Amino acid sequence: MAPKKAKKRAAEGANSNVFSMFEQAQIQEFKEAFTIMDQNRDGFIDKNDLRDTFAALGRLNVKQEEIDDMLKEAPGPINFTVFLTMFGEKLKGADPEETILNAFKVFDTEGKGVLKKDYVTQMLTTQADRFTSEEMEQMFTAFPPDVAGNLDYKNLVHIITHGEEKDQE
Amino acid sequence: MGCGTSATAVTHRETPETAMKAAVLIQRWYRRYMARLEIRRRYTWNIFQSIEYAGEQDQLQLSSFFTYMLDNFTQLNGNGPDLISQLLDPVLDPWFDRETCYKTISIPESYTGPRISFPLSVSDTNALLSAFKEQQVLHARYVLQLLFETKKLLKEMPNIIHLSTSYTKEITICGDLHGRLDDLLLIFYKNGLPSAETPYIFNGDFVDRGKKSVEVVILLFAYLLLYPDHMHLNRGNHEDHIMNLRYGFTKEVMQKYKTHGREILQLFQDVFSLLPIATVIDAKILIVHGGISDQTDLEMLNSIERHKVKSALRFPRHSLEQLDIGQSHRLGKRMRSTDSSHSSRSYTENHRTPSLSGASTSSSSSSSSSCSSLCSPRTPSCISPQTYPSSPSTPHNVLQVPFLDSLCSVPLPSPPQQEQEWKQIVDILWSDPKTQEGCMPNTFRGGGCYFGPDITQRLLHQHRLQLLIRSHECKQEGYELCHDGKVITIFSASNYYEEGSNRGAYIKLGKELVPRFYQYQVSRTTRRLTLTQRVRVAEGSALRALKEKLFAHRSELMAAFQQYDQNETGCVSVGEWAKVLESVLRLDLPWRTLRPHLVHLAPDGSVEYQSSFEDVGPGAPLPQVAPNLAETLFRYRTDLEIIFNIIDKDHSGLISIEEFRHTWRLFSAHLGVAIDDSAIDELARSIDFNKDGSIDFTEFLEAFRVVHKLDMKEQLSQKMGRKKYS
Repeated sequence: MAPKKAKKRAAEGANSNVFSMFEQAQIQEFKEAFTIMDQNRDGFIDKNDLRDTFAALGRLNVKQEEIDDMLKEAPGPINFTVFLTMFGEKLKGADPEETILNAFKVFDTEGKGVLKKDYVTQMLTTQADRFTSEEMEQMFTAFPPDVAGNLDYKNLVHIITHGEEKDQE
Repeated sequence: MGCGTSATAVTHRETPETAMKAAVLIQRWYRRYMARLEIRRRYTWNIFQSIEYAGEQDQLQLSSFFTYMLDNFTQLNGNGPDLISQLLDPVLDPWFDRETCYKTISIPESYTGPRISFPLSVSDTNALLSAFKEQQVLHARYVLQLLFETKKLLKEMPNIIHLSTSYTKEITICGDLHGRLDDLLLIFYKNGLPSAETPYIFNGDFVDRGKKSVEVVILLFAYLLLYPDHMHLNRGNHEDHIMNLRYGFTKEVMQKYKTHGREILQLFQDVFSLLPIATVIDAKILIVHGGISDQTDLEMLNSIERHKVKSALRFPRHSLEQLDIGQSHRLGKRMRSTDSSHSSRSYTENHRTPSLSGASTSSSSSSSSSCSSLCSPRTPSCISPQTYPSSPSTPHNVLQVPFLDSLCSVPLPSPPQQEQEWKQIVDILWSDPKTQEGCMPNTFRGGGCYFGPDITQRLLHQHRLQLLIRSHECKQEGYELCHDGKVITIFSASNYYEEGSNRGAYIKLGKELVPRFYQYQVSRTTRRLTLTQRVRVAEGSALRALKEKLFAHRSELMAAFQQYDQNETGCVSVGEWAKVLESVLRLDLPWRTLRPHLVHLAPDGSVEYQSSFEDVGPGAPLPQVAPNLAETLFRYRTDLEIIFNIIDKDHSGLISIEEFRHTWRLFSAHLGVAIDDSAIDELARSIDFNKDGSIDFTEFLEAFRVVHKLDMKEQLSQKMGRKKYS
């Protein structure tokens, strides 16, 4: 995690040099992602684009304050440079499977490979970057717990990481 | 996979800090996954739309080819007007009654389909509903009679229908159906059959693409006849016989009605051109299929003779000259016969147009309007300019015009009335709303305009309207609002691109004129797919379509790659690869994001550009053809199928070698593709398997259907299907 953090700090402090932080090929990829997010094709990602993107991700009731906060983080309207600075990292790179598994294992102290659905909900919705209830529901729809209410997190992690890996080739 | 019961509660021995860190990790990781899924969904959508609209642009090319054919095609068999002339340039004005001999068609005893009688009653429409649910086909006689009656009714209707909500409960407005009978039946099931209590407006595009266009449109017309005051149909851009040629309706009719297909199609042509073009509710809500332009004039629209615009793609000949069909690419003089005696739009001496050479910039007065309706189709950059080969059967006086030497400086006459009227209708049927202000030609589709919120505002204000409802574009949720809520797009064909790609929707409107949306999704699979699975299915389908495009442009792409790869390493950089794809295919897509699905990387991170073509191939063993001929055949396979079907008058699946040769020569001349005669002759000879002078073009075209080699199952089942074909 450390190298990433360093990069982030550097990026925050030097917006104009943000292009030098990434390789040309990466920048082109981000540009494409930017275009995909910029639904009305005006060259800026505005509140509506952000809100739509959140909505598409299942977060339907994003508070205006939240969006404003995100926009405040940006030095101005979110054009491509700003986007690169703020979101570039979030779109690239995946934490390896081990890391995520260990994160789940923190809560699975008995090492059973499953967690109670209610416990997972509590864990993810009440702390840190809280999940909304819609997001939890989405997760459980895609990865349903068994009849006893157990979520097989190993399976979940495997499918997400390997499903993605396969698609990314 | 532990799924055992945990009897005891898990004790939390982790520290709050660790717990928080772990939670953050999980949350971010999962959200990133969802974000990537969303991006995949969006670019999948982009792929489908790009390919769809590129296809529509190709349509322009096809129809200009037909015009060219009409000018140059001598009747090979010499007996009577052939289908081309009939389909493309009917002498009869649709206003006048064709001789329909439906009365003389008798229904055999063995017919088990629905029987209806005129005037229609509810039992007739119910009979049709149940029959179509049982996959039955309505007899040609009834179809003709139905169309005949519909035509009579439509002639009485104005161009713009005015409705009022005062006497009815609620009006239901549906968008594109595109031959999806299941969606129509679902709407009727959820919302009720059309009746005095349940009036409907269907906003165009009833046919094409879907497999049940005939059934859909029969039902709609039947209800129209049954309840002319409660059932209303707007014309869409697919209610157009030239669009039908390419997008499946013509084929469907010919397949279902072998004997009377042509007659039925002719009546459809008339009926389509007689459909009203707009509906207005309570003088407040305007409903049209596509949209508007800055030139849209509702008064003019109301007064013109709408049936004169048979097809948006058969533009008035005058416009053809101002059309910038790759002007920079065409060297040859694009001539049009001024002797348009067989055209119903005859021009006087004054409109004799000079030749336009490639370099000239015509002072085209039609584009003095701020938004020209027709724009140049994107011509592939490799099509090299060619002068048309003069084949012996082409009379020379057709290709020549008097003013051979006059070029740019000749001012062209102002657009005739007919052209303005045509443009008004094309704008209504083809335009799309955009967020940017202003009005621009819709280059994506090749017709109509992009209209901005200011255009909407102006028109609504001008006519004291408050809302514009339109269709024409597929939307994920079945509907979408834009222009600050003043424009609603409503689309009623669910799963349009692929299983799970989108929902369908309809609007209900009561006296208070506040629209309410109802969504649905017809699904053949009973198992509910998760979002991930749906995205994966749609994405797979889109990528296959894209790979086929790559395959069909193989030599162009390879030539461009080799320019970057002078040392013949087989690799280029990712940036170069993306640049080549964009310039050859001209589909505005996120190529770098798509790269992993389309091509392999070498160990050093460069792109092995040939790997794109590895897992696609021809559907059957290819006849011996030169590579660029093969590719042209792959690319224009659909067009050729249409053309062959037209030539094949008796629907035998066979055309003569001479017909094949002649058509092919014309087609390649029109495209400007250099194919020498000997190659064509060889091709013709090699596919005349029986050596009897006739070509089974279905088998021939089968060779040029692109398949994905990995998809073994599909190949097998297709081959089995082919064998059953008589």
